[in-house]
Amino acid sequence: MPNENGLNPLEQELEAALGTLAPAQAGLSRDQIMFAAGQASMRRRNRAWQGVSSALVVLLLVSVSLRPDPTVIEVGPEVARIDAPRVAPPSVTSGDDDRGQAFRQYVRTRRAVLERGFDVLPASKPTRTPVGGPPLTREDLSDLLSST
Amino acid sequence: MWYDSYSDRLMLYARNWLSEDTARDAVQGAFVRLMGQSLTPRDPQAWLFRTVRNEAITRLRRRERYQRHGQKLATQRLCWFESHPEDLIDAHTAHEVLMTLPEAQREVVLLRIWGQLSLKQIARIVGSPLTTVHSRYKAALAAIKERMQSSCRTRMD
Repeated sequence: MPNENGLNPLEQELEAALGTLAPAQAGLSRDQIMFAAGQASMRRRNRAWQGVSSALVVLLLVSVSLRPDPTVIEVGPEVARIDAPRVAPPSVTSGDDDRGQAFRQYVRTRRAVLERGFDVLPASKPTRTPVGGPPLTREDLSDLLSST
Repeated sequence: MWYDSYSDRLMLYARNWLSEDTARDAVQGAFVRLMGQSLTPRDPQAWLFRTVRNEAITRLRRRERYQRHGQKLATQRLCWFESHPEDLIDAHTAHEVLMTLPEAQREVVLLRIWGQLSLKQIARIVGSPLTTVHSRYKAALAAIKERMQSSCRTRMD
């Protein structure tokens, strides 16, 4: 009667007889296999790290190469800056602050008048003239100067 | 566990293609790969035989010995089986008869009898239809029987 593999009894007998033969010893060392497995495991771990670092390097290179160009901001025409000539501050030797401040104020006012004329003078309060006439104003002073 | 159960059988299977040393390397490589698997294969037995087969084919291709390995194996003196007085078949005769089989038939016989795999598993390993594997096995058994009988007759004479 044929078995599940479709073999007749004679073939089954032959199959069983051949099966009694034991394969020759493999001659493999279990320790050697374990050692080789350990080595392979370390290699795999190293490869994993190498792969990660390589991927990071590639990512870095790609990000550097694909970096957008810097944007140019249009700036209007440059305005030349004219610095006022430096005037060395007068040395105050007396130690009197009020006098020093008054002197500096005088110098500033003088420079402004020289550069831009009398218009820079603050509108002054009318002051009494010593003779008791109407107080002198800036306009009076201008008229007086233009007349001379 | 797998080593104790299958190392000799895998070695026998690898000897089908490779010399003793190379076969040993191939079987060792298969065990190393099995230990490196994060998940145990569903059918470890078939997996081991398939891995040894792939290793053997790779090594053969690498060394370009496809043309010569048949002759080389035929001249190898090392017997594939252990010889015991109580054996029903003489180990050397069985080896010689197996070597006369075509390689495809020999592979099926090795996997079926000494690998203890089903014909379905063998079909998956060799990548052939089940019917082809079955017919190869039947033809191989018939050839073995015939050659064993003629060998016995020769000895009797």
